[in-house]
Amino acid sequence: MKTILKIIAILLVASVVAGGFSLAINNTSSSSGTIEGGQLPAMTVVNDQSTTQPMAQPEGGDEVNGSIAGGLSGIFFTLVKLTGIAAIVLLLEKAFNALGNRKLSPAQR
Amino acid sequence: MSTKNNLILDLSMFGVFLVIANPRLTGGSIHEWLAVSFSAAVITHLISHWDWIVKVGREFFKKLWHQSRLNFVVDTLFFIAMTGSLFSGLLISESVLSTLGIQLDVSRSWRSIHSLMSDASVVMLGLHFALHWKWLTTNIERYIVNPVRNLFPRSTPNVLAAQPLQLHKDK
Repeated sequence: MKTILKIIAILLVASVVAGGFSLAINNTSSSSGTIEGGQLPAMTVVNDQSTTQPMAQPEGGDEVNGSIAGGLSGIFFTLVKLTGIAAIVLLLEKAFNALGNRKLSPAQR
Repeated sequence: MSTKNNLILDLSMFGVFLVIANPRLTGGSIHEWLAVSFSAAVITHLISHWDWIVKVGREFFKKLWHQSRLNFVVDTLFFIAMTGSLFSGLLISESVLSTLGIQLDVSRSWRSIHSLMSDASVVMLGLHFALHWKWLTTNIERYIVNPVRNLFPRSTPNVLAAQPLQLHKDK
């Protein structure tokens, strides 16, 4: 299979997933009856002055402002989370393997 | 793609993921553009494992329990979480879309989805990491630890003890 076809296939699956998210958000907002809701944002072109809407200010603006200390501590906590999750899975895997070996040993005897 | 290149790509992606997951470090604009480039890296990663994806995808329902099956489920959920995170991030982005000349009316739900899917991606990466632990440790040792160790062969006593004849020849 050619690489371009693989890329198209991946993008197709990604767009299906993205479409699923859009549908889920639209359904949630329509069922809850909120105006703000989660509709897919209406697209406007910047050059077209008549249709341009003022852009909403992002929430938690402070969060996206660069700060090396905050960012590095964030990376540290992400690494801690990843290590914790990986450690739990590896321990579970070990436990399952040990259980499997115990079940096998009487049969081997 | 060779194992070494796979390892380089994976470790680079891991580093970029850590940076993207903490937008405070870079600020919003770099966060958004890094995420766009990261999506290209994700596509490259998927293409490099295409044969495995197709093979396990075909045999998914044949065997009831197999390590590859668990990997496939985790990887699929990871892909969904990453796609959700990148797509919602694109919709709420300021820098990327304004560069393209597009402005979107940002809604709160997409921000929530972005936050939720980003957290889910971290969890799925942890699982992905754990399930490929053996491959990762083996190849890190093979391509990173051992070459670095070989740079200083005489500094460790074990190496000196293992090669006494070589030392005599040097003298």
